[in-house]
Amino acid sequence: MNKRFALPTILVIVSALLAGCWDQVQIEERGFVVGIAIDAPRTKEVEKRAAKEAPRKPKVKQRFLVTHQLVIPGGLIAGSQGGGGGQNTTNEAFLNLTSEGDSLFEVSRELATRTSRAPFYQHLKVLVISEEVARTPNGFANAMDFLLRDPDSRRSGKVFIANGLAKSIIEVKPKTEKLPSLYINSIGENIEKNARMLPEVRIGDIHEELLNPFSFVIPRVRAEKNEIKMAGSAVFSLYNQMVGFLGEEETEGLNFLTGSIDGGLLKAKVKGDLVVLNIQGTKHEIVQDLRDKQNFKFTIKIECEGILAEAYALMDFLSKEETKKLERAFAKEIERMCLDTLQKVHKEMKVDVIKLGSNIRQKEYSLWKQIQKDWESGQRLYEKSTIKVEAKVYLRNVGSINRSELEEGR
Amino acid sequence: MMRKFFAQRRKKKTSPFSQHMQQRQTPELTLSPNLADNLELFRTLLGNPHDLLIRTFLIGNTNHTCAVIALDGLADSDMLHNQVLGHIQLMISTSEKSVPPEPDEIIQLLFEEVLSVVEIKKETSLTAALDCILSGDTALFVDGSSELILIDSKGWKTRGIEEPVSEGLVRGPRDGFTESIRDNTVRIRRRVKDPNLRFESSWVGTRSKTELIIAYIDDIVDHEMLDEVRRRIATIDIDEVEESGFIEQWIEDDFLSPFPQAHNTERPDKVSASLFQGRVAILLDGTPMVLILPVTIGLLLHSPEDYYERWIVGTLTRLLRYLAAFFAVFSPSLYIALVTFHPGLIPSDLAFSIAATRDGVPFPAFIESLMMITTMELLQEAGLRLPKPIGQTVGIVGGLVIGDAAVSAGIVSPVMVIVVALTAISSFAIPSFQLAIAFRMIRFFAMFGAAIFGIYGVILSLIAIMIHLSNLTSIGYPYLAPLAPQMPRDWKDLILRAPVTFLKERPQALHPEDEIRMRTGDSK
Amino acid sequence: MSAQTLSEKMISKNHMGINIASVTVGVGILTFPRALAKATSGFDGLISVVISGLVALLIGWLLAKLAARFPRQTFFDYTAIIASKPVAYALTLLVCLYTMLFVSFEIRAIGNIAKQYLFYSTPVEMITLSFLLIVQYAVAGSRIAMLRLNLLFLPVVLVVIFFVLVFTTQLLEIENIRPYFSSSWKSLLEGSKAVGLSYSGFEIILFYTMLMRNPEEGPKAMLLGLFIPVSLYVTIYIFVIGVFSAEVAKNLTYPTIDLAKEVEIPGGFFERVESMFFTIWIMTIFNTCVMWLDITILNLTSMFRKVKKMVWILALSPIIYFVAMLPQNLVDFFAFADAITYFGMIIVYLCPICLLLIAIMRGVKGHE
Repeated sequence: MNKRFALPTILVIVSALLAGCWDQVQIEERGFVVGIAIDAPRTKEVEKRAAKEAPRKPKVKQRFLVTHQLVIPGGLIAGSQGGGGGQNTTNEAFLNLTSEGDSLFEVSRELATRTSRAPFYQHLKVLVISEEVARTPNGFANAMDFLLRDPDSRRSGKVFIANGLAKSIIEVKPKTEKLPSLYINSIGENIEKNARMLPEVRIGDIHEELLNPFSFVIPRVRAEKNEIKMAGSAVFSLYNQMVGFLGEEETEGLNFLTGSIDGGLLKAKVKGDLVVLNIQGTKHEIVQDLRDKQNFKFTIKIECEGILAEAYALMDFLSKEETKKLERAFAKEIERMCLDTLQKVHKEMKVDVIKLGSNIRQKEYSLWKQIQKDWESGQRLYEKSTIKVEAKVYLRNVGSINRSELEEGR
Repeated sequence: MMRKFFAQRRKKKTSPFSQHMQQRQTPELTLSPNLADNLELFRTLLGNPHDLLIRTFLIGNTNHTCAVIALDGLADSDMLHNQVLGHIQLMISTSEKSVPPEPDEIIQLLFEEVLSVVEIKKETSLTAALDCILSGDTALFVDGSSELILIDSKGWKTRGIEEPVSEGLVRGPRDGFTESIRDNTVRIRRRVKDPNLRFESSWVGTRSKTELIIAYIDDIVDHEMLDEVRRRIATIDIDEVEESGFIEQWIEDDFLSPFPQAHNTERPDKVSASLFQGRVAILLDGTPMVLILPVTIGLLLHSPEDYYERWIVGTLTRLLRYLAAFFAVFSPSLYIALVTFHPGLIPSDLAFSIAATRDGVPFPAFIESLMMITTMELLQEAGLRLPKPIGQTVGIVGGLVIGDAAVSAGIVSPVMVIVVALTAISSFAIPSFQLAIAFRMIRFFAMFGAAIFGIYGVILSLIAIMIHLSNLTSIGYPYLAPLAPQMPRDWKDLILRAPVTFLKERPQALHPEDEIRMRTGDSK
Repeated sequence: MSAQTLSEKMISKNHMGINIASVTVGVGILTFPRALAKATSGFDGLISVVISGLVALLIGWLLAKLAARFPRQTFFDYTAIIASKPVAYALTLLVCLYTMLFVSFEIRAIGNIAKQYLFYSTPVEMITLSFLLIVQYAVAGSRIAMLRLNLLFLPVVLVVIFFVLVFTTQLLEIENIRPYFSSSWKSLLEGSKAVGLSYSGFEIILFYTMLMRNPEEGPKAMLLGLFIPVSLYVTIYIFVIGVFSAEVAKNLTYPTIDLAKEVEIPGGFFERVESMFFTIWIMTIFNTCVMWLDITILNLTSMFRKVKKMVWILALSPIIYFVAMLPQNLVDFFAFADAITYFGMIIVYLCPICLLLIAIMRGVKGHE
């Protein structure tokens, strides 16, 4: 506009243009990190070498073996007909880089010395942490700090605990997907189909759990040959240290106890034969009786509805009585599962993963203030409490048929 | 700055409109009573052109010499034969009245009784007569009189009325303006049968003497604005005016702005609708492009069809057009920002496939888009210049062949081609060509912003554009009128197009004297 | 030019309200949930938001009353009428200092946040410089056009925040919000103090009332202007707590940005709502910043009538830029912010209220 004003403006713009574009990195030059696996180092070799190189460097408690999974975009295109895919002869869509170091940031920067593409974390989908790291005190929280602090990373990546080596999880070569991490990510979304999977836990949720004075669970994954299996869960104490695993069925029980079941199946035996319920939804309520401090009483009421999916037992599902019987059998099964889980988490592990403490906090805040310190630790009021389970099942539909064969046929 | 500019200009010419028009004329030459002198004078003034028609004759039985002067082709020769020469000779020879002896009386007789032409006047100034002859009138001299009669005999060949090329519609009238200002006023009169419709005629161009008409509806238009338009037109001091673009550029508020501050159209329906809204139209002889003032951003993004179609269609089309405006300006810059600065904002799968397609492209996204957008501009310009059939070929060759070849040669990525195509299509969807050009310029500005600062740069450039638009005025009216300043009553005809029965008022933004369109109350 | 006066209209009551809302919603909206969650226990913080909103409204109402007593007169003019010229010079200069520091703070905020979330190696100097240039451009134009930008940007801001919140609803967890009403009054008041800092800005009514068509409508404009931020803050706070829980909110530097980062729209071209969110925080901070710079210049030109606006813009910009570059880190930066606000409390809240008292006692009123 003004001449006096125009000249400096133009100068600044031109100089910005000439010197500028500081952050310009072309998309194909980025190393998209889609998965990270964190292990404890197997050997002490690297550590010793590092100690030799810098002998006076202060020793750290813990070292990590970190595997980054980078995407090779060229490999994602079927047949790789586009130009420039030449360097990638095996036509794999990913590249796993493993490095060792005492901080995750160090490892991340070390990658720059090994690959032409600097790691870029904004598309991180999966974070797998090995059992070993999770079991060391503070190990889990330390491993998470970098990913929470770095503004570059997202709070929406999913977190899993590996039963065994974390690295092997993101090394599987699935047949359906080109990227192992996306494959794991997609499996994590199938919770509606199976009650034995824990609902996804995102990096952001972990932050919440780490700060909360409660125990928590994280889904467990296990690597098999060309696939992984996601079932069961890893249990963390309130000190954010892993204390053990829950099996598949125990996880299902836990899901019932926390009311986080959207779908799945429930098997029960009626008249000695199998019937299967396809779960359509559950309701969940905790009734608490907090009069006696030394013996809090909780009743977890579970209501579950579903349709009959499979029935080997021969009975008339359309009759009212038979349906009632069926519903009772399923309810019993739920109660059994829940009690099994409770047995483990309440009596053995002594962790409040059902979040009963949180329930008190929400409903009786003043009481919670007093007992907060004595819940899972201190006087251990949690352990001393009594937990009951009451289940109810509603069978909404028996499917398209009543019977598949007649009794006489047997 | 513009204010200063105009203030200075105003100092030079503070005279009122009409007075001013006279000041600009060439030195006065009066007629001499001698016919031969007069004719000689005309010949010399015009340089004795071959298309100057001079016919001298004697009236009746007297020996009073008369002469008609006209320019061949400009004056309607049929009319001259039948209504002028024929009448004079026939009537005077057969009339009972004797021809008066005095030349002035002859003039009076001819003026009052003989000539059966509607538009006719007496003139003593030779200069004025010259101007009239040059615009197609015929001058009638009688020897011995220092007056002459000017007969309106304009009748040159004009182009027929055709469908406007630059503003096609699916639904709507098919007629367009032509180069003849008379035809154009007819087109407006045909639509506006309001006695308050005013055509203020004047001329611009000290040499070209082009006729200019300010059209408005007297009891709707804001007179403050009208006076300003008159004042600015009066400041025009230029020797030739070929097209309304000269007027537009002379009277605009901010000559540094890329945005058009007067809307031009060749659609009479658009002009009449604008007049009814309280705007002013400026017609210029010799061009089918009529200027509409003042401009608000809505006028540029609305199409007459919005009103002709049902309101749902109109509203949706408008939404689409606003979206197109956004894409036309920002899609290349967003591409640059996302691809080079913030791939994290793109969904993962899309990011990976863009990365895959860009694998091997030797240029950064900025250079890539600069190349492609420039190519697109070239194609657009080349397509305009070429004859229609070839223009299409260029489009196909350019768009398909170059695009495809560039992709397979690995110079640009396929995604870039999509982005460029989206940009091009979006900018064609904008009804005003001038606005589309403005957007094309701003697009580069936003691309530079994106290249330096990524999405931050895009937003800064958006803010800068908004600052500019907010400061911009057209004949003193805020450009972003119903939005900023806020006039919620106008919003039903801005991005949305409310059903016709809801549009009871004229746009407040134009300060119309008569705000109500529908006086019958609820017309349902 | 004569027709230019057509557009040089005064501002209406609603426009003034939108100006107040725009200037109030600034950097504070990004950080206040952290301070608030720290002071109160979770959900109850919204009571603090309302309390401090009411306090702000009361102060704002007094300021508006003061300004409305002197229609069409600048701050300097009426201060001089009430409390003699020397006092007016001193106070106006201090106000200029305050508003100028505010501009520095805002542009530094842009630099910090952009640096943290958008850039890695772009120097913060360049980020702020480019922003300052845009701000200069806006202030260099006509004042009314600059204020109209608020009309353009604030709706965008509100719409985008609405969309972000709509997409966030899927992440809301009711457990995070409970328990309700468990904080003590003391902590609520402390929270009010924390969130009160994010309300600063409504004092623009002192300076812009002279542009209002009906200055006596100032208090109403204040009501509208503070209603928007209060409701916005309440909503955002509920969402931040609901999504993150109070524990996490305490530990996030910019909780509101992280709220936007948390959301994903599956299947869109923009997977992340945060990109939309970036647009709006730049816009809000821009609006705030432009108005502060404009007020600085308005006050300076009201004192020194001979110096042109452009000269002030060009002279002040380097100082503003230099001051903005002073804080060395995030902690310094937040301390800087608090210092300005406390300084402002005395200069633009306490002093004008005293002026109002004096004016009422002496019965001074402005002439039309």
